[in-house]
Amino acid sequence: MKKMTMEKRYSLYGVLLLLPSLTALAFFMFKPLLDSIIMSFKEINFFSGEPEKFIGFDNFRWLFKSEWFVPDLIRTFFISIVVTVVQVILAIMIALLIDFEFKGQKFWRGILVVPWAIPVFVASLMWKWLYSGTMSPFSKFLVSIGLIEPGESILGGEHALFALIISLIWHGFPFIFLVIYSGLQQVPQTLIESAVIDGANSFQVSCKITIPYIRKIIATAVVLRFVFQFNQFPFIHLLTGGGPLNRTETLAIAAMKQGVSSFQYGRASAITTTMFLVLVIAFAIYYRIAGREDLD
Amino acid sequence: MKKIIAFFMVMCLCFFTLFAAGETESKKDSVKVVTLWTCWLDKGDQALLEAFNASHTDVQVEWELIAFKDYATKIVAAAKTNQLPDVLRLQPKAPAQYGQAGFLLPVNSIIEDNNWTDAYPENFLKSNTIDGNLYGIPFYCLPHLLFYRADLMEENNITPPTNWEEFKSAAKALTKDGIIGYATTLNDPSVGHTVHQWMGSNNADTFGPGLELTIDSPETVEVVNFLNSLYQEGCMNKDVASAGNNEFRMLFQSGKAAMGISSSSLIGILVNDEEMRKNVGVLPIPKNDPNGKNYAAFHSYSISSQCKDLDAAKEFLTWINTPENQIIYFKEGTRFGDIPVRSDMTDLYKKIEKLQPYMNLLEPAIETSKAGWTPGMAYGVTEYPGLFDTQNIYQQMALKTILGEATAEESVAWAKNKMAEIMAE
Repeated sequence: MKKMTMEKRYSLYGVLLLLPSLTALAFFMFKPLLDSIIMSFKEINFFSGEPEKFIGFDNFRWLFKSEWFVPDLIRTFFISIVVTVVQVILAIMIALLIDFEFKGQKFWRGILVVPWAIPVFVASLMWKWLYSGTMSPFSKFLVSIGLIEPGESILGGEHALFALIISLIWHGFPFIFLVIYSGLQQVPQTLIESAVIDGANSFQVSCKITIPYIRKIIATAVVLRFVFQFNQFPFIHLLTGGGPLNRTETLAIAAMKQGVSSFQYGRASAITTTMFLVLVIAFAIYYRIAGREDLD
Repeated sequence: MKKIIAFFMVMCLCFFTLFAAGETESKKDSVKVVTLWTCWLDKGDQALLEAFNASHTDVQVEWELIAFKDYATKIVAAAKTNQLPDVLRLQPKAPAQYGQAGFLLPVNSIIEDNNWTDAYPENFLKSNTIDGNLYGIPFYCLPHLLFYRADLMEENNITPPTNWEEFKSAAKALTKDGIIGYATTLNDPSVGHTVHQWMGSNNADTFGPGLELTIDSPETVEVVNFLNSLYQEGCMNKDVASAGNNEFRMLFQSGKAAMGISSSSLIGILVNDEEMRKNVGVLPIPKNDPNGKNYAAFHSYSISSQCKDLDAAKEFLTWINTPENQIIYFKEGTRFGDIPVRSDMTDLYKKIEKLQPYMNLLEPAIETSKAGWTPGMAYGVTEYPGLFDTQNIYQQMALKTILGEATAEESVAWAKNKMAEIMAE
């Protein structure tokens, strides 16, 4: 009995210590989320002069009937999956390479993090210039391989989506690289040494020892990157704005167009609520397939 | 001891805070303050506002500069949270849009009480009017003009174009040696007028006399086909689907484009580049229809529906719109392309000494500003075009054909459907 009372006391103590953080979380995260979900069931049009009113699932019906919804949803998934997969593969490969001791290791480690240090606005302007048909030396190369015509920007044609994906991979790479590289530092040297003694080469050590050892870290990084990429807005908005002709439009961009450009906040909230539900379902499916042990 | 010092410091802090608050309160009681939001603050604006404050002891204006990209969002958010300022400086179409939404108060009385009706172009007042209520007083106008490289035209024996055929021919002839004949953008929603410019010149409009949608008229189809032909024949910049407003203007300013259509604000930039200025000419936008109109946007001042002192706000608006006061803006300003809207200010404006060296550029702007046009303006239906622009409908209409997704007829039909959807909401 005395032991249980002590445990309860410690639990209560822990809860009390967490209370300020939980309150802040609730105020800055859960309340806005709840507000957004509630707004998605209302008609809120600032220009109609009408007060907001509850309309049930009408915003969702409008959303699912919109001709752009399915293409945007597919495009959002496509961008998120491609960017995440490429970033993870690149990050694993480069982290393994960088993990070896060599001259200039620290320099290269620092260089790889630079894209993360560049503000989104500056990075998007940089890529816009790089893709410019008239101002970038890179455009000559693209003309030579037949991707664009002279003077054309790759962001203005049918390859705009792939150009966007490349710049998104570049921009988000440092985060996943750092996560995986940090994970590599946790791999016990004794394991690697034992494998080497047993005759394993570097490739075998990486595939059979190192990567399996950090698979939980990789799985977490994949989930985090996918969620971030799914909700990605500023970089896409600044680089392409969802154009040309909505060829790079994602659900986040569509939500902005409804909310900020058209002042239809109920509809914008319906889009963001749908995005939230899609992510919850996707994560639940992933959690079930991957197995609880990967994420514990 | 430390506790005593700490207590003393806290008491001093409280005392001074209360004292300062009290002092501010007593200041506010004696002077009426008019709060103003603007997303442009030129030297001319500051000079005008400071002159108002200097000439008034009972009313003072306090202004706040808001970033252009955030302006509309901030106004809407403030309207919903009861935090609108007393007066707003607004861009084209905004007075009617916000007036319709209940954010603004009618200002008809200012025009009527001062007998100013004849001083303003009828279309400009109509454009700010909904159901007989005028929601903004036009302040200055930005007519859109054809800017061209006079030196290149002379070298190639080309006469500056006045119609579409001449324009296309000139654009084709000038596209060489790394220079593009005509630069524009069809990507930037903040400049939907890159299509409006051509619609006006072909007498196409968004609405008809019965307020029916006429965006799918044969005239608009002609505009889309014309823009498409410029692109397909290689005399329009190839990055038209990705370049923003600043990028296409940079093409012209850097000498990489022979012609461009822009607002008269480009004159203000050319003024600072003597080399460029010598080689640039300005004309009205080439017409394809004899009844074609020249696109001209204008900025206005409006009174918000949450204005705290209506008399003070009206006094402010009356003062800054009186010709002998308003001329301060144009005399002190550095935005050389801003043209006064009032017809009784033209002579005053033309006499401003610092503008004399640039009159060759400003004269076409002055002439075209008076009969300026924006879509839907003629019929006073202006609460929608603002939304058509922010959703990029006009530019997408042209791009669909240029990028091969639809014929011109299909593109304008798409535009009509999109607009009908917005109006139905």
